[in-house]
Amino acid sequence: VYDGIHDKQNGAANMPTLILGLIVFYAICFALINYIVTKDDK
Amino acid sequence: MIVGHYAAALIPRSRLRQYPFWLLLLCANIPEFLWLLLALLGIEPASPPSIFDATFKNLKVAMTFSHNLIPGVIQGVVVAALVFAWFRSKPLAYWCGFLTIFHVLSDLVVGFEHQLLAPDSMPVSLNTYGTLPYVAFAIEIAFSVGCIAWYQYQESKQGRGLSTPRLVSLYAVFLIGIAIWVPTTSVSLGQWMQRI
Repeated sequence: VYDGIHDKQNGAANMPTLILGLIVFYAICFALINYIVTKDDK
Repeated sequence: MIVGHYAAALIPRSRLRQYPFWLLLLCANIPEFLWLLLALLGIEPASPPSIFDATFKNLKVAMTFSHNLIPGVIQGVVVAALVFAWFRSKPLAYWCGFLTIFHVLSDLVVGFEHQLLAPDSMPVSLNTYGTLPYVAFAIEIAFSVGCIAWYQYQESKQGRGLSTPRLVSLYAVFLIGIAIWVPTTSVSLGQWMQRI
């Protein structure tokens, strides 16, 4: 369970998890869209 | 916009089928990838930095080099020049440059506050994520649906219409990819986890 106060105390809240999460999100969407659109390309 | 930027790559796809589609996807999101890189380097930081604390309403982002208008136009010119140098195709280079600039233009309508050039220069965006986030999501959905419909129309005209499963999959990626962010409009992921 997320514990905001505890996470801030141990510095975890300063990890750029937002940016890392967005990188993963964009990579997954990129791969899915590219696959769907180019699936039948010869 | 978030995943909706990728939908712009579908606009020229039918007329540029001889070139790799990943290149159009990449160019449609160049400013975002530049921001992610600069954010990791601490040049354009996001606050709060934790995905568990951030909401669309409390997020403060510095996007001077990646998303301000004039830097965005410069990115588009550079992208067009690089694509032309690589592929020797003017239509492809123009489209890739346009997609890069279009990313910044669309974020002026659906996004955070952006300025003309420097952080203290004239604001040129509507800051809809800060003021009207649900309207912003609705515009992004409408834009994505419109781009997919345009792509399907263009492909159908050439006898290559997308099959129903592929069309549904394409709509699903964009609709889910946008809807997934709606719960974090004003309540952070950490707060949701505490409630559960």
